Amino acid sequence: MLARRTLEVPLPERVELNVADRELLVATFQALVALRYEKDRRWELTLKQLEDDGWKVRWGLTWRAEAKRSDDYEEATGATLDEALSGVAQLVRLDMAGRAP
Amino acid sequence: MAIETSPLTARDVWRAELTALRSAGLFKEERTIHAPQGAEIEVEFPAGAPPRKVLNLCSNNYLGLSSHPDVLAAAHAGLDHRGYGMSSVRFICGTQDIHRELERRLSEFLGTEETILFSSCLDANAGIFEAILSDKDVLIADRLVHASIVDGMRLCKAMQETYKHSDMGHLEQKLVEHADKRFRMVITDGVFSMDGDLAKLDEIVALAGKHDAMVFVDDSHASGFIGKTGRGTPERFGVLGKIDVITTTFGKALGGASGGCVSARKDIVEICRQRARPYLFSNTLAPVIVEATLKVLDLVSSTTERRDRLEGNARSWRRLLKEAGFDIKDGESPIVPVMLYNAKLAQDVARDLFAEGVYVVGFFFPVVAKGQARIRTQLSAAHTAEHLERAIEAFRKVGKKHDILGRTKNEIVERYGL
Repeated sequence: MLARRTLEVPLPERVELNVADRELLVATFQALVALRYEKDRRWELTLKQLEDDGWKVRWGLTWRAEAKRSDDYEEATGATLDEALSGVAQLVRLDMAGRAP
Repeated sequence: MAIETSPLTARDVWRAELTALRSAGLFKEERTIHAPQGAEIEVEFPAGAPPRKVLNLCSNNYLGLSSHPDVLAAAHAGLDHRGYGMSSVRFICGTQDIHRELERRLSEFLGTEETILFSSCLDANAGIFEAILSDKDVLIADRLVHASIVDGMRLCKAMQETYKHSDMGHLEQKLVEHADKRFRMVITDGVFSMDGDLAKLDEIVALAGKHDAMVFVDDSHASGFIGKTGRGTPERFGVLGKIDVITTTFGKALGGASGGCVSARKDIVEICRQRARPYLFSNTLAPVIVEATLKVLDLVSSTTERRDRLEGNARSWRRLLKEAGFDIKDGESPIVPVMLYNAKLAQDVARDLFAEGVYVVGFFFPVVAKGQARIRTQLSAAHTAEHLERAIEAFRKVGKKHDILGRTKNEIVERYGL
């Protein structure tokens, strides 16, 4: 297994990262790696195949929210963080109430 | 790359899950009935015990038509004239004249333009949203709608929204919030199956009109008996013909076998015929059920005697329970929940009632919210005054045993916990 490699980025003084800032930085680097290196850029081939089959494909980065409680699990995606969280909240609400036949 | 394997087999996992359900008291035991469905049935419980005749207060046989002689005769005639099975989906070679006739008769009965049959109302609810709406639209559902509606919403790409149960202010807030969507559809049950309360359909229709939204009603616990002539909650609230989509079942008041439908504007029904997957990829109703359901429609259209009797029974039962000192949910439907709040108490009371010859089932979390355990009693037109007298005697005896008569919610909770 390859040794874990890290990149250190000095932050300007007085910059305090909050959870959302950290998440954003991690996501940015993950996106860069995924686009440039992941699985030898197999995504390009998949995209081409879809387009060759006549699909107009639109793709992009998105927000994803998960909610877990015991064995219950819901997830939703959205163009914005609010959309993803609202989506997951609605799914949770749909199944929160008791259901009778 | 090494694949990490679990030391547990699938069977181990499922067995553990079943054991957990049993230990939590959540395992559903099916009781075997050795008789036709009716006000009194013979039940084998526990498994292996000789069947006992008990009074049935937990079926959806609202109009008492499940074993009605005219319905049975129609079913036999259906078998003789149109055979047993269709062996095909509707659009290949599975549509008979009687399927068309039933669709026409349902539209007439429900006051809609057109109707399409499904194998169940669950299938109707699972198929319709995906067929008629897209990601440009929003579904806004009451938070207590039936599980099949939740499944149907999940299968649809439209945005999913909910409003607090029967809260018209919250519904309007959601309609305003989603004014930018192409289509908005408000979704509700006509009668909510757990509490037996009715949706405020007149207010929902008014709000939908104001905000240019469609209205969807699942009237499974209403068709055949709610409203002066049994047309359901739209009739009860004076909005017949103003509901965009009605779904309902034939598995409850309308004969009780199985099957359901979407009854709506012609274009909605036509889209369902082309796109609703449960309709396209599964057989429709067997001729026996179609003929029997046609007979049920004859019966409910010719007289209101049965729905009137049911209404009277529900009123009497509520009064008897209140007089006896039980804590019940008020309402006007034949679903009368007896509130016990504590899950174990609900199970104990149901067990003791069975011993006294009354068959009811205790409902508790996750079927209802935590701390809302109850016994759901359901009335039928087949119940007589003598049946209700016998039932209330048993309820009084069991209520006294558990010291819950005349007790408030707080007193019950204080004694038994939540």
